[in-house]
Amino acid sequence: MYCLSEQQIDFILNDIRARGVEMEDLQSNLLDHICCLVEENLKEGEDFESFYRQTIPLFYKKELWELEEETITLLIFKNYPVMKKAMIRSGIISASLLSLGIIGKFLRLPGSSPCLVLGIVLMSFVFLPLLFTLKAREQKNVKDKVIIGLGVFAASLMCLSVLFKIMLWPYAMVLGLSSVFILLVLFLPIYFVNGIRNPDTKVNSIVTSILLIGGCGLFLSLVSVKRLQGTLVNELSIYTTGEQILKTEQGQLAVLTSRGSKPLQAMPETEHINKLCEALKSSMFEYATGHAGSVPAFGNIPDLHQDFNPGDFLIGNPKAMDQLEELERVVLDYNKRGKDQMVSGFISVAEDSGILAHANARRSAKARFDYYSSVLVAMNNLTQVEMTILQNEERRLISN
Amino acid sequence: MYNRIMYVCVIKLKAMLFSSELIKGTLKTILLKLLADNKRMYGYEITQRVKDLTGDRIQLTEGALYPTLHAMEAEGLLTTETEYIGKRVRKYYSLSKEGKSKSKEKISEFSEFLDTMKVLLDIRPKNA
Repeated sequence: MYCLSEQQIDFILNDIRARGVEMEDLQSNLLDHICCLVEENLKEGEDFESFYRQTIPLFYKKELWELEEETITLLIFKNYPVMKKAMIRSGIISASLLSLGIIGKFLRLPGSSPCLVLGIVLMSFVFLPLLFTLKAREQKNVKDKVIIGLGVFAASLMCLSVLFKIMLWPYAMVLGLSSVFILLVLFLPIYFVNGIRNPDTKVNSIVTSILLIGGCGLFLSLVSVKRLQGTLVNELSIYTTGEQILKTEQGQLAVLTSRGSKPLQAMPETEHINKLCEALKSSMFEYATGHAGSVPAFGNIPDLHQDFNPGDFLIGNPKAMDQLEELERVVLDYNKRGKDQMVSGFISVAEDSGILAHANARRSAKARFDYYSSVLVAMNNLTQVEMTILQNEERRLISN
Repeated sequence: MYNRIMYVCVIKLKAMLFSSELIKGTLKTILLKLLADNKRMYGYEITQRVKDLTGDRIQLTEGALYPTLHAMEAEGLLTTETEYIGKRVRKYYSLSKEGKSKSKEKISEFSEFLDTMKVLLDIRPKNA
């Protein structure tokens, strides 16, 4: 019996690793197997390396790593039925949640947003990855695996884009446009060329490609970035101008009221109304532009990457809805106090128009809010509320 | 006799090569039976035992043997223990409780399959 040295054992192990076998378990098995073969078939004094070189090709057809590939395939195959069941179940659940969420959103029912979010998360992170794993396993050709991978990746990006939009996170459109780019520029050419070459898949490939182009076209027509951005940049310019005037006037009034031995005290509701208006404007601005923080100075307009539905802003922001309702209550108190105290030239804040209309009921407030062409118009309306109060303070100062 | 018949359907035959479709799926049954008859075995030992039992007519390839052993271990049919032989590690395989019941089930299934095939293909014993 041939006795292997430690160097020879290391040589075999290193060669197994160099041939692409990475699983330690499989490395040990192969090492022991080869050692047994050498020990039983080689006689003392015979050439080890030459015997080894002749023996190792008997283990495989093309390369030694085929064994590891086969092992992995068998391990996946073991889980195949479980994965298939999980894929079907997650698909049914996510589709149901999405349907419920969409119906709920149309009917403005509570709980529709969580349904949509859960459905999208389930589809992006469970259904689509499982679909890719199972479909890729069924394909032997690398090109087919790449096609499936690209398709699933683009679909996941599209789902995440919708999720980002619902959650009012920035870069929703970037994700959406990226997925369309991958679908049209990368996926479609490979899929189409590959599909029409095969007579069995020719018709299906043509139909699917047409549907895909149609779907992407519809998506892009919904976005229409240029028109939307043009309108919004104008609205933002108007808003920032108004905002600048308001801040200047407020600063000047503060200087005037602090003069004298007995500074003029503002009406009790004034500060509260201003704070609520600023908080609402700040969250609306973030919603409209994707930029957190205060409204920038005139001329420094950030990129607009959200298309707006003011109604959605309130639905997605219960805190903002609460603030709006509170603002409506405080404005009523303010108007009442102004009338009761017979302040000279007092101008009531408009209770039945603009953003405050119907703020006493959540649903009707949202309905009213939908009439605005954008959130920026509503922000302008809040600035006007603050300006009305500013005017009243100025009148009080003059009459004093 | 039955065991002998079962071992025929493996990877390679010296006298005659079966198509891969025909021999597919029988390796697991062979391994289960071998390990049921022997307390524990390692890979090389399994290949040698098959050769001995079939008079060198059947040779298990390493490319089929080790992936199947790993898959069966992951499935919970086999338990393993390792021993150091000098610098290298030897992995011994034995049947788990589940593997033992699976072994009986697979052998019974294969036996029924053979009986059915005999009827279907009208195969009579050669000495009949």
